[in-house]
Amino acid sequence: MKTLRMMALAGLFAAPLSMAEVVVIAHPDGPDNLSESDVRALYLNRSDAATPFEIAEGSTIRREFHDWITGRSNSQLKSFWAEQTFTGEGEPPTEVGDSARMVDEVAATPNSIGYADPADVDDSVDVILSN
Amino acid sequence: MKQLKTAKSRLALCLLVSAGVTGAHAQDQEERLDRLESELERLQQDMRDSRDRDFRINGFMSTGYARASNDAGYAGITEDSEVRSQTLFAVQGTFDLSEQTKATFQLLSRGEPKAAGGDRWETQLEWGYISHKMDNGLRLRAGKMRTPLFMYSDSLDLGYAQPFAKAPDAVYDQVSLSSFTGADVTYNFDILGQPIRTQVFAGHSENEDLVGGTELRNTAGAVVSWTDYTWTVRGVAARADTSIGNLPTEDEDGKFYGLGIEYEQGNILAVSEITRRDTDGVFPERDGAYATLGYRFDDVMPYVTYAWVETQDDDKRPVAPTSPAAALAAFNEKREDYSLGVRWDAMPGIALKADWTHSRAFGDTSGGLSGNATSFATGQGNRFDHTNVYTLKLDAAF
Repeated sequence: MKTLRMMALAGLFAAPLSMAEVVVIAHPDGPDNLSESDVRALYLNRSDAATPFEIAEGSTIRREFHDWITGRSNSQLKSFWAEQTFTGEGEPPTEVGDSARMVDEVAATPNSIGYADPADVDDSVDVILSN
Repeated sequence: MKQLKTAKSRLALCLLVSAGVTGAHAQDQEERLDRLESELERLQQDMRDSRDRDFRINGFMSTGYARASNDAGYAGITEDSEVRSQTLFAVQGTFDLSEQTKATFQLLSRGEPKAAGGDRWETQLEWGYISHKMDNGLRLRAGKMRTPLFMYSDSLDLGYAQPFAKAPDAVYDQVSLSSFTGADVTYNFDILGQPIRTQVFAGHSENEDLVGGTELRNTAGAVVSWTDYTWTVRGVAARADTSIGNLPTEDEDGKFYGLGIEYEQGNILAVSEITRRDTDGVFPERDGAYATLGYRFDDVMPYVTYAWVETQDDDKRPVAPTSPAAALAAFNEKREDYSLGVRWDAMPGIALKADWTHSRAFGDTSGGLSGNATSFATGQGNRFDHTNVYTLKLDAAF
């Protein structure tokens, strides 16, 4: 009984941490059937199969997404893209202001992917992965 | 620019149209609303299109302060503080000639060390190449590029992309000529689902100021690397006809081999490189390696590095009382470096670094340090058996 109550209590505390959700979204005409590692490849410049978008620094959704998919902090990403840019390997994804704009941008750009707060997602985009 | 103007006039048109809406029938209003919506959509599309520029400019810089506990001359740093030689500024531009073809240049201006005298800055075309990506995934480049001998070769001057204050000399001094003029081919492919990257390069390098004029002719090499985003493994082999100005060498067969491993996961960064330089004749055969371990606390990453270097054919250059044999003996090298440092990502695009490197275990060699090389060559002056180098550095990318 005590254990149960402890578990319930732990659940209560854990809930707000796992609540902050993020989903990977894509243009309705594709790409689809992407795995986490496919998405990682797109965000770490190892694949140009689709156009990725990024939310500007300072967003918790961005933090959530990178913790989940790339495992890179903002400063690591910044170093990474500086190297990619200066070696001519590629440019960082275009940044958008927030999660709602991300949905608009992905909906308007064929063959693009992004990530968003599920609350901002409507039927203009497809949800292809969720954490 | 032109697109922006079009976008503006279209916006004006929208406003005009919307002004005329007042007083019209409801059905007309709906039609106009639809039209407005589609105008807005086109406007947004225009803005998106104007983002795809065909010229981009980026830059980076470093500045810093370095001094040593004595005049042993580790990386040329002595008791006199150095600021100028720690400072550089670079501008890089990329022109998109087509979807697949780009031209890139990088102009880099760097301060010369105090020893050079005066306030001397040299500006060089560090990179200048044209690259073309073929439909089958091959990328071809031609022009002046970085010789890809080391894991951090591509970001040799870009301190911001390096974890440490300075890439370890034991490895990064192996070949001082960092660029070549020639061509390379890069190809990415999967073997059993594993991403492999291969690069083959060929060209020529020369620096008149280095050891009385150093030249690498008919350079050719290959790089193979694999990564699963946590682990990266990289192997490189290269060769060149090597001529070192003030040594009795001409077109000696020079070979270079390197193996690098990197682990980056969560808060941990571990990176290590093992290299061998192998030249026929009197120019030393030299092995160098390092291992760095860093741990990230958010934006602050302390690191430790151990590095080791040793020439393997010292018997070819015996210690002798008189020149030129004495000068040759100064090339014998044995050294261990212990570094303790920290990188702080102070704000987006700016990193501050502090580093303390303790260098010792020179045996009966100069340790490859400039202060000791002089005393080895002349038989006069002090010989140092250790040195401490303190560095503060600011690296920025923009």
